[in-house]
Amino acid sequence: MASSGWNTIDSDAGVFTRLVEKLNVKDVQFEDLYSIDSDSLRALSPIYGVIFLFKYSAIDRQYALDNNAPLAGEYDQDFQQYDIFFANQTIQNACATQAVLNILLNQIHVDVGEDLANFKSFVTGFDPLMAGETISNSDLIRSVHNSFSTPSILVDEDPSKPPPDSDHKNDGLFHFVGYVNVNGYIYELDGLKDFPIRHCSCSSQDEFIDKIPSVLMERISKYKDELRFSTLVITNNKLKQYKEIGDSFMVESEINKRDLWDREIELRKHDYTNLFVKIVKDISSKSSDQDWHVLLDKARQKSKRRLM
Amino acid sequence: MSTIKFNAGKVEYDEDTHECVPFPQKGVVTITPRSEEGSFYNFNWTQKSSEDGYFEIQEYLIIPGDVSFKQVSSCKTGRVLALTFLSSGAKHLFWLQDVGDDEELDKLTDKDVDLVKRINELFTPMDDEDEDEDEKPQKEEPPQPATTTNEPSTSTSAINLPILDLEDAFPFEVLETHLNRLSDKQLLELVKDDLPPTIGQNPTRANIYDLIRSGFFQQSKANLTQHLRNANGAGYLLAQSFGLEYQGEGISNFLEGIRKSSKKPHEESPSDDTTES
Repeated sequence: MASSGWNTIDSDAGVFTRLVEKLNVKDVQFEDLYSIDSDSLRALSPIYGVIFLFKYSAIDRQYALDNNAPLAGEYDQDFQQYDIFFANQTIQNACATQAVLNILLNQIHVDVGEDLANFKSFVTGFDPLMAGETISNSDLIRSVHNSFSTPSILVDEDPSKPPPDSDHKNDGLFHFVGYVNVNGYIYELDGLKDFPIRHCSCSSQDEFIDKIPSVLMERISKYKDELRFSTLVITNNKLKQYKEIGDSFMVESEINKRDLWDREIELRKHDYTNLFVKIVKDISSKSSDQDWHVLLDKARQKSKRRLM
Repeated sequence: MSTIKFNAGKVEYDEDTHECVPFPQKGVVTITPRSEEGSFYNFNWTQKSSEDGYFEIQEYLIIPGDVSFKQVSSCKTGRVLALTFLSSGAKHLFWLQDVGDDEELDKLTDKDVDLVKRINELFTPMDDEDEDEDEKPQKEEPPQPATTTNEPSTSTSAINLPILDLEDAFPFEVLETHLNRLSDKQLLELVKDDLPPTIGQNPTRANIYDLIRSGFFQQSKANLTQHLRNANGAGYLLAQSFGLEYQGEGISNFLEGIRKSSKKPHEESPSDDTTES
């Protein structure tokens, strides 16, 4: 059961923000980080953590085969002594949510709500694999996660199908890694690694903002020119923040942003297959045999050009 | 058309490390025309030697146009040929086991080059690009005449080219052209039950077009393409769920199911094969 029932969700700031809100996490917002530099980060502060989303590639596999060694930094096997929360990723489709939890459950200044607080105390002392399994088996987290997924027309009819080894855009596997400031260091929390990975020392928000760009750039440099990635930051609820300081312009901008998120989430959750098939049926019913034939022949020629 | 045979062993290819792992067993590839299906071919690999008495056999059905067959240039330690199915992306590799070049291990011999050329000729679909292709060209008839029993009445040309993507048949422009011909009332009637809630509350022509142009709609189309191309029984389930007559797996058959179903209720005629709207 643990391996099924998790749908893929889009990795989007709006989706993640609404997802953690639904899990009752208070005052948290996700933002795209378009440029990895301290100024861009400072503009979004406070930064609770950074999510690095990238296409899992040959070099990652190479390190994974080499004792699952970190690409940079070093394992901290004693992380539990320092109250660091770390769960392994046990289901590909749940990887985004697992990465988000790895960051949020290490925040002392974030109210994660009763459900996640209970969850955290329940898994305290579990090894990373057990903690990951517990996330996978959580009905609450799974149902919230799935409420943001794009419907898949055939999931129910064909439950025996093996889980996809690529994402729904067929772009290969994407992987999420979280970076947080905890225990006086920058830690990388990668659900596919054995332990949290310790990078440079870091004891304040300012220091995190100053240092995290070079940690990320070091990682990116390992991939030479092949890497496709994006970066999200977890920050506070900006709508709340601008309301408190009475910045009406920014309040409106944040409200518009949320409208757009919600609109996109709704569009994302809808299945358009019926609509498409209906229109195609209508085209067919109003086409002569000749028209229909020409349409399909054009398609064959286009498909043929694809093969060249 | 004669059978093509050559000695080759199996290779497993790791897409991530880009490494070919050849298996030492001797084998032979046989390519034969499929008698019952006109221009299709059987591509069989059979193991020639075995230590445990177990002889592995692999069989593939080749639809010309759906495969590529060429050398894997990145493999330098031997002559490896890749049979790639374009519709599914499945890739099968074979290493040539006849004597090759001593110095350049990956260099194809003249015989190999000729072999690859002959196979590619076989696997290239008959070229009928001319606009009026209702008449099948007689000059390059496949070895066996195409059977007509399963042929849809609406299409007189044999299925010698697959439709690989619904996008090829129904890109936004085609849908738009059609919707432009509908009155606002007809448009609404057609789409109203299948819109997401917010747009459903205010379904303007512009809103509907925006939706159909959106990435979300494209994604549904791509998913449907993917399901149909997997050809693992999904076509049957999909035809059923959309109330279509099941015509077989794959995109072309799915569209044929749509064609048949869309023609039926309008004509109310026992035979749905001749009337045009």
